[in-house]
Amino acid sequence: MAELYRVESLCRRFGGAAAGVDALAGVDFQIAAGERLGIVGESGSGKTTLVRLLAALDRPTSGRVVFDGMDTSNAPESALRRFRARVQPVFQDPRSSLNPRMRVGDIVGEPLRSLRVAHTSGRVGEVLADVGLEPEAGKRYPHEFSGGQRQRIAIARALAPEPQVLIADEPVSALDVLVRGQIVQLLADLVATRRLTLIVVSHDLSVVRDLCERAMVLRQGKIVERGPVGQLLAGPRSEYARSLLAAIPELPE
Amino acid sequence: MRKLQFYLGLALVGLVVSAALVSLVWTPYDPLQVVPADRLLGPSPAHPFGTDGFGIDIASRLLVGARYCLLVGIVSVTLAALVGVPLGILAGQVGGWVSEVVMRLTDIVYALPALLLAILLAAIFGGSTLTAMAAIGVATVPAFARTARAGTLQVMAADYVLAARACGTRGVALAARHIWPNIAALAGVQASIGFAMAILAEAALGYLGLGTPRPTPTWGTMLRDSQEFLFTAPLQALWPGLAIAVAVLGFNLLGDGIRDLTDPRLREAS
Ligand SMILES: Nc1ncnc2c1ncn2[C@@H]1O[C@H](COP(=O)(O)OP(=O)(O)OP(=O)(O)O)[C@@H](O)[C@H]1O
Ligand SMILES: [Mg+2]
Repeated sequence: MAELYRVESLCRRFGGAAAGVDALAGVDFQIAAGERLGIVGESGSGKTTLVRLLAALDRPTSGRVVFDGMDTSNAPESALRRFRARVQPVFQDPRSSLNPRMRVGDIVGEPLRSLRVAHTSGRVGEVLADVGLEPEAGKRYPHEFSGGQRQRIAIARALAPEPQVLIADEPVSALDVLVRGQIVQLLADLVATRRLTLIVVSHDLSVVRDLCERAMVLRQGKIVERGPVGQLLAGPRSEYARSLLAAIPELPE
Repeated sequence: MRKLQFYLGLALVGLVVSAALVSLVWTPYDPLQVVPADRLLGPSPAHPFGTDGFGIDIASRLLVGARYCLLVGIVSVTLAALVGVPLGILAGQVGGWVSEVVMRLTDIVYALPALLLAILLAAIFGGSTLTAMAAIGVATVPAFARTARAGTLQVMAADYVLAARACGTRGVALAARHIWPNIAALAGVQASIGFAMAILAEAALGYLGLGTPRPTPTWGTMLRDSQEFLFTAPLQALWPGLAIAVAVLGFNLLGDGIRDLTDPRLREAS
């Protein structure tokens, strides 16, 4: 399969050179087009830092992220328009990732407007339908929706410019346990029908088990284990991965 | 309770606004006509607030004074908001040296009291309503810039701004769609408080003879004129003082009310 992402010696340090934290301390990996990659690790292991760099929402201290031949980590914002239409993020908490003062229709249409993506007038209604919401939802404000519905709105926004890659940082951990399964199912369906490349972060291995074929385990900004999800779940080599595994809630299949 | 505060503020401000509006079409007596025979009359059915040292009906002068109080408030607060809010948003959004420059500039203006500025302007251009408005407006800019910057910093830290950036929204579009709508309520609170401050400042300038000149009635100049009779006719000072207090209290209550009513955390709790 064609290589889409190449991550080379990626480092991100927060704070000064003396008293800073290395959120990422040298990470290398590749992602092929169409691949579904899970990133797991305990709190503070650098997962969010990594996906922000993959989405070009932050700049590395050193190293680089190459997307389809382009070094996105050092590109000026003006050169990232094509990239942004192809790579879209979904954040953890839809209560904070949706502007409370914007109508849902404007929220979902924002990437189309800002990235000047050619689209039909019914595009916003279509993506809302794709995530299981009525087109009329576009006229309302985010606070009128439940947590699960809000995350659907955030997913609709990400889908609007017809991206190739979806990057989801803890897409269900802020949600009610009862709706988590529905959102995971929605993501699985969307990825399958649209042949999306998916990068999912979770501290919860069950989400990764349901969505991904390959996974990496992060610890203190380093990749400590990687491989097919089945293999990782069946026989984690490190004590750390075993402890994460032990934290999986038993979900009824 | 919060609603009560808001409505009380609204009522007091409404009183001042109606006084100003009424004065445009009607006043009981001519607010400028000196009547030597009627000097310093006490309250009576003919003159509910009495007459001043020139024999002019105080009620009429108070009504017209409301007009100047609002005029100075509206113009100076609008001026301050139009300059301060964009500066504050710019500082919060861009950060770095831009923020430094804006903040240091506001520090300088902050350190310069409105009164001093007004004295300077009055010395150059002569005391007038315009110099009073300009001085108060300039002196109020820092408050707006700081409020806007603080609000912007808060908004910039929100995930929806990160999402907007991922959507390719930046610069003026980011400010217009995401920042301004989310700090507008904060600016509204600041405007109300700024209004209250402007009214006080206008009264102070009038009192010092640096604002609107005679014979135009403003509450500040009325207060100044009453000084002469402080011991013989103390009610002279009471009426304009009361008017100023009502307006200042009204706008302060309104500001607090807006803040409480638009704070989503407080709103959800109620
Ligand atoms: N903006 C920041 N400023 C300073 N330190 C930061 C910042 N963002 C992250 N860090 C630090 O970097 C490290 C990794 O943080 P990161 O958010 O990537 O972890 P995470 O794996 O996403 O954790 P969680 O599961 O809790 O979301 C942590 O030590 C964190 O304190
Ligand atoms: Mg995180």
